[in-house]
Amino acid sequence: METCTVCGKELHDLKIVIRLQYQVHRKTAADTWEPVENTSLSSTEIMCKDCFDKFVDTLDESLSNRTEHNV
Amino acid sequence: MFKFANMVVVKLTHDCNFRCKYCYIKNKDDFKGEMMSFAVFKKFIDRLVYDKSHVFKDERKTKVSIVFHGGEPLLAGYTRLSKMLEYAKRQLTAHDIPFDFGLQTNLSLITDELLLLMHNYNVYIGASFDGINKGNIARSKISEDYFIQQIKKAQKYNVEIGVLIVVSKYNIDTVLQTKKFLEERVGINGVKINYVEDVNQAGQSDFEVTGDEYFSKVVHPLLEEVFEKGFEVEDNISLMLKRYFTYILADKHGNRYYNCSGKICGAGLHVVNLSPDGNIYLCGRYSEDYEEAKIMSINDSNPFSAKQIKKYIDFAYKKHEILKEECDMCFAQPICDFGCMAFHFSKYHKWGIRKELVCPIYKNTFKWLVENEIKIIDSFKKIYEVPFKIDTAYPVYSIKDSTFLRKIHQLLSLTVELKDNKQFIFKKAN
Repeated sequence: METCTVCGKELHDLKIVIRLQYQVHRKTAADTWEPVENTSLSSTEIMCKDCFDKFVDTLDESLSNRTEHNV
Repeated sequence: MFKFANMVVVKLTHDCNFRCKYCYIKNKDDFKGEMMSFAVFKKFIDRLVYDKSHVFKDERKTKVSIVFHGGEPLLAGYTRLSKMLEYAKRQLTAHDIPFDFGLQTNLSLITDELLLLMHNYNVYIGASFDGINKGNIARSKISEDYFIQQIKKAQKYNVEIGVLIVVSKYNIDTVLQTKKFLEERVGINGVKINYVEDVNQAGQSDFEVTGDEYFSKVVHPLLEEVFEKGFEVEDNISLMLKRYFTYILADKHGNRYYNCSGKICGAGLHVVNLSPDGNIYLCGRYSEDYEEAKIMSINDSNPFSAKQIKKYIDFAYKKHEILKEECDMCFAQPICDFGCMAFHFSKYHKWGIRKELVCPIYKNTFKWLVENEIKIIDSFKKIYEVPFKIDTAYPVYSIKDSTFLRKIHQLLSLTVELKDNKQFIFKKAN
């Protein structure tokens, strides 16, 4: 039985697959953007509905200032 | 935590039965009797299996090398080591995770029983030996005869073995003689040469060699051997050659993954260090378990690998500042290893690179390669016969339309093509 990768609970009716892709670039002394080797990375979690809700709440809470700024 | 790892250095203990003069592990007397428990090791394997099993199809699933390290890892003894090897092999095989084992040792504690174990689990042994004719005096009091006797014993059990020579003032004049001796008289193929970085003393220590000295007495003579021996001359020389030819032949290359070397090394992602207490560090080269190098505990959660990647980015940012100041405009970048931040941190307790060591080695090598590039390719024709190939060391998407290509075409009647983004094939023109 597949389980939620965050809380370990068995997944029955719904699973939410979220993948974060990381890529880091650095500005060189020549004023150009250069990708940092080693950093084309992705990491995935498969969440139950409860963990997903918590995940969204956490994002919303911690990044809300940024959203207001962008608006 | 181990999702991106292709090497995990398992530091079974900081303790060692030797007290070599320049060993980078500090305060060994404080660690007498320290040993990683089987419970910590089991937790590590379980976590490794979980992380590698949850790698999705377009993420990387590379072979992971589990390298037993120390201190002296053979202090663990036969029973503990065999239990660890068996558990790791059983779990990794059951979950279809590609792996291999390595062990870095001074060879003094090796027994027939342990060698049979190494043979049965296909463990690659890296042995440390600095030289014949008293060249090993800084490393330990182990005699040349005893070392060779131990190597022969390992060979009897068909255990694959490579030797690491660390160059200091004590052996710089005999290192090439030692290399030749190990290859020709003892039958060792994998001899790797590094320069010493003494972390016990800030500044140039009594027995560290300078970058210029290392180039003139070690690198330059080895480069001269390239004309006869090709890439097989020595691991670090081979890597520099591959990087150089990739640079002059390739138009573009993809994202490269490094353990050591690279502008910003892969410490904390592709290589990590597990300490006896179950804490995970950026790599195994730190002389103490510094908080600055700690990633997390084996028991910590790590959703989206975010904590680990944040630690890597913090580390990368430190290196970025150094690169901007020292390296970004340097001509030797295509072949450089950009210095080791772990050794520098261990020596000075701040982030940096030993540019007085690194720069003369790579700048002089780069100049030599520029002067000799055509001669090298010409000599490779004789060593490897045409067509011969050069492994590019990283993915490459296209060949450059370059002066160099036109030169080898005109002078040597060779054409170059790219195969599978992995190697250059040199063929006779027409």
